[in-house]
Amino acid sequence: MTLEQPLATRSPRTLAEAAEAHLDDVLGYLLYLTRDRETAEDLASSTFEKALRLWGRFDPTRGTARTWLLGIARTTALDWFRAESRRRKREEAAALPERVDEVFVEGLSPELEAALATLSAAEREVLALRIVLELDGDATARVLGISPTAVSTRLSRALKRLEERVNEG
Amino acid sequence: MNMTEILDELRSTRPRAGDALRLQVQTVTAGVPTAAPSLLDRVRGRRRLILLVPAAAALAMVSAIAIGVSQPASVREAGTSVRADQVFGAPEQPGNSATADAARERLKTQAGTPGAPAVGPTVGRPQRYSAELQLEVPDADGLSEATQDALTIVRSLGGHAVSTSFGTSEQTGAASLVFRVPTAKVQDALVRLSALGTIVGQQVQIDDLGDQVSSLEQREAGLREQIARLTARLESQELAAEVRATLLARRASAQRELADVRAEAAAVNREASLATISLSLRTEDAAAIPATPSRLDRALDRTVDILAWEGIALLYFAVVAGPFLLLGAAAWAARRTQRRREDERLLSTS
Repeated sequence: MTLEQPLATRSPRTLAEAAEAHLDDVLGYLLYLTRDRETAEDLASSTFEKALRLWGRFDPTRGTARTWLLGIARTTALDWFRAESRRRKREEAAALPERVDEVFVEGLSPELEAALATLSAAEREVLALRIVLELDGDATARVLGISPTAVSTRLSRALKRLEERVNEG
Repeated sequence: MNMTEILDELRSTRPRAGDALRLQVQTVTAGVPTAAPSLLDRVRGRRRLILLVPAAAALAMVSAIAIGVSQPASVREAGTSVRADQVFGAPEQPGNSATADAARERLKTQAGTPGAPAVGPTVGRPQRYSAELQLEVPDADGLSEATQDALTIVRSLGGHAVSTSFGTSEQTGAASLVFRVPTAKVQDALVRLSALGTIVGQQVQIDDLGDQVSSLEQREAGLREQIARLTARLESQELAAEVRATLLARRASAQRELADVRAEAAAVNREASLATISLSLRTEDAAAIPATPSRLDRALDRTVDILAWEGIALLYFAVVAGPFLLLGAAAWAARRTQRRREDERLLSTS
């Protein structure tokens, strides 16, 4: 009898396995980053399309599938942010409001939701990775392309600001 | 709300993908075969560079060895020295059965060979004769023996040594001797001296002194006649004191000039009567006369040559392309840093 290792902890044999195991992580990260569920779902879909093209390059010895997918998700999100930045600049002339969901994560209290909305995307992404998805410091650093020390600093600052905003409200 | 409550709430409300998205992603990722990254996929970026450098070095080495083995350097390239005996015929070792007669016979047979002392002085004609002879002996003992024999030969022919120098170091050494030998016996001397070792070089120079001797003889005869005339005038006539003094002075001058001409003629005759022989002796030098290199040696030579050329080409490439590569790398690094800062700024303001 062989004991099957849980899918979330062992290296996936196919992208389908990786997607099944880490879709929620990718979506959660993108949701915190964009604060818009529809956008996050679109980006998650794009992330897996990119992953499909890059799957041959995935090397389990260099990191987990989860970290690898989150890295692709971040690149996809950055492309979206750049496009959004250009779009906002164009629309500022027409005074169109930025589109974000009032409630981007189901179950969050309104105070916490409002406090999260006041944080920057950089602060929200480190909260998403370290707190919500519970990645360790090294994995988070790999996704963000910064040092583990910088991750700790950024997380500490984000939590402090979040607590302040929650209690202000 | 304290920090613990915030963290608990964030963790407990972890987002879940909806069925629609899940289905969409399943559709996208379905049917993709098991990924087995190729070696090229695994080795990327700096890793690829780290592998490429030794791989290129190994390729250069292998190709150099392959070319070196398949096209070894020619014998001519490997060693240009050729043994003297291959040019002049089989050598006669000193102390063996090489007698003067045999040596003479050998020299006669070398008459048409470059460097052979076939030209001797012309009998009855004044000539300045000088010869250089380079011989090789097997070892230091042979060198000492040959030097002594050379001195003996020259003395026996009525000649003498003008200068000698001799030096040895373990099994190698060299000696340089200059002899004056009666011209009439110079060819005999050369034949006997050449028997002392293996001839590796010889040169003979003959300058004809006949014209010089004739000119001196004519000048001497003219001066004698002039002196005789002056003497006759001084004896036969009544001369004024002033004229007598002038004639006496001219005769004295002619007599001095005659003495000089005689001395010069005597020097020329001495020059013609003694030939100069410069004899150089040396032990066999392995470096100067290398054995024919083996095929392996030639292959190694060729391989080293090719590696040297590859190194030169690499250096040339580095010198020419290096600045451009550095500029490219700097531009790439600057662009990457700028992009990262832009991303950070974008996320900080979103």
